[in-house]
Amino acid sequence: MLKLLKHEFQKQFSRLIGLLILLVISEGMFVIGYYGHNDQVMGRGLAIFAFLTIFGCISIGIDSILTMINDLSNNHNYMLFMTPNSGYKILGAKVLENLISTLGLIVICVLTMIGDYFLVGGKSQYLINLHINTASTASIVHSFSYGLMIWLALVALIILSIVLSLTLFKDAHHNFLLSLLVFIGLSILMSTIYNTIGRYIPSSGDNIYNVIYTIIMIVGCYVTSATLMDHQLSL
Amino acid sequence: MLETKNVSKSFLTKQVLKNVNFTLKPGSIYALLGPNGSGKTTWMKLAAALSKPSKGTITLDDQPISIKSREKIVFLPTENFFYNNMTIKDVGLYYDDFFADFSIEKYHDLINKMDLSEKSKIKTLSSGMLAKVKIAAAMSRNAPYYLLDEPLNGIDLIARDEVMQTIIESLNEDATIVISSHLVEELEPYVNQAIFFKQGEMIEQCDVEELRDTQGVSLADHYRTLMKGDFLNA
Amino acid sequence: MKFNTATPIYQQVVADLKKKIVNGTIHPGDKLPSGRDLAVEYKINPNTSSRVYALLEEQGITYTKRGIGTFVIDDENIVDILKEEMANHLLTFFMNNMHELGYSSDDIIDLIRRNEKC
Repeated sequence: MLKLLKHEFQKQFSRLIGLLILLVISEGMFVIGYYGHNDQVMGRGLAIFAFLTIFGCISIGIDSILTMINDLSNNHNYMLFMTPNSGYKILGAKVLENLISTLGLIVICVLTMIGDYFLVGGKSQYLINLHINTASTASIVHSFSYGLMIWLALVALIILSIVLSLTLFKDAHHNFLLSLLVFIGLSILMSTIYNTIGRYIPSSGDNIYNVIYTIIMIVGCYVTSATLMDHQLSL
Repeated sequence: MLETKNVSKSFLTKQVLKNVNFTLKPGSIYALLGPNGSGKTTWMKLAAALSKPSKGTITLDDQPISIKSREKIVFLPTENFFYNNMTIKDVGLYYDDFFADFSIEKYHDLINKMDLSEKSKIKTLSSGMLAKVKIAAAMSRNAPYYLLDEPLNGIDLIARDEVMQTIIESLNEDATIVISSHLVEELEPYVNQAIFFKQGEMIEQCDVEELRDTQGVSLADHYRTLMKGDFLNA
Repeated sequence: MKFNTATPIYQQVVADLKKKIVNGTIHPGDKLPSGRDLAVEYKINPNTSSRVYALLEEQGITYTKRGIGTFVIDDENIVDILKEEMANHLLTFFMNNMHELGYSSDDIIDLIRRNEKC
């Protein structure tokens, strides 16, 4: 699986490097601005850095999904399916790559920002506005995990849609439109199930229900996709 | 031994293979012949574990074809399937990573022999060059079964000669090769067995030299006899 | 080598090898290429090579040393024997065709003499 992972990263290589370079430049601006006592440069550097974090993560995430779609649903899929790797490994490598890239990026950015905060030691006007207290940290982590879960769910549904087209629907000619329709159908199905079960959940248990439901959905999609790929592939 | 037993395959509305039965034995080169749409590619994909039969089974050394079978089978599709940003060298590294029987030295060798540069990007290659890269990758693996789907498609004569040359030179004595192609006459001297597909059915399997010996016809002429439609018979 | 694909290829390769023995390209006692090398050289199937050597051995022209290879028998006479065999073959073919055209054997000899003078 490591080899699969290595190749998945190779596919994203230039984009990841490009983003990292931009991040280094903006962080450089921040540090230079600080030591050069130039608030403007410092501020701009930080702003660009923050922008890149958000934009970069979304863009890496989307690129990752697009690569996934490309890899699984046209002639390129022979590259993966001619190898003696199971669906679990193939999909696992893709999901992992997506997670590590997106998450890794966020973690790097957040750590850098924390580092910046300590570097400046709360002296700069700009950074006072960014003062983070315990309560906000908790809510940030909460939103972050929630966002991550939703992202994973999205990726899982997309993968399942593509795999369903390739297997059960025996779409020998890999029609993108079919995958899209399946995706829409699945989303509606998932929402319906969610709402139906949701009616029986007391409102106090809402959060836990969300989490459990999403996790089951993600695992279910992954296992179903992998199993279908192994047993019902119809290239 | 690669045995195809009572295999049928349907896609939604269309039945592409009907009750196909035959066995492939080691050490032979098979020509898989038949018109477009006769089921040749579908059969190859079933044998390569890229698809499952609707009915019947294909077994490799008495085991049903599975993902693990891909370790013993080299499948080369007609289409260009390499990732766009790969260089010829990258293709070799990829195969090396995923196939234990792949020899990177042999790959270098074959690429050089066919006058290709490993730095070239796949997307810049002509169809002839691409066909050569594909065959180099395939023949650098040391597997018991090679399934080559129209490896001579759409490329010029010299490139075709080089591809066939590469196949014959790289061949392992006990390996079984199945080559599907429309170029029956070009393929003739290289193959010793022929399998004919027509409208999803395997209509005949024969030893080519015996065909010449007993009936005094070439493989090409025999193909014409088997496949000619009413238009030419009238 | 261009093959007639309506007749067995292995027979044509055997004929070619015999020709080479007769014209001195291959000498008695020489080692012949391995099955695979023969296939590469003539651009044929390796199984066909096996048939080629099987036929040559059957006809007493070659022998195989296990693990080493196939050799032409080390007998100078083989050249003359093959030469005569191939000449007879050609002659029979020629005579049959000429008879079909209506030439008698004497006519054929006259024709040959006349052709020689030119």
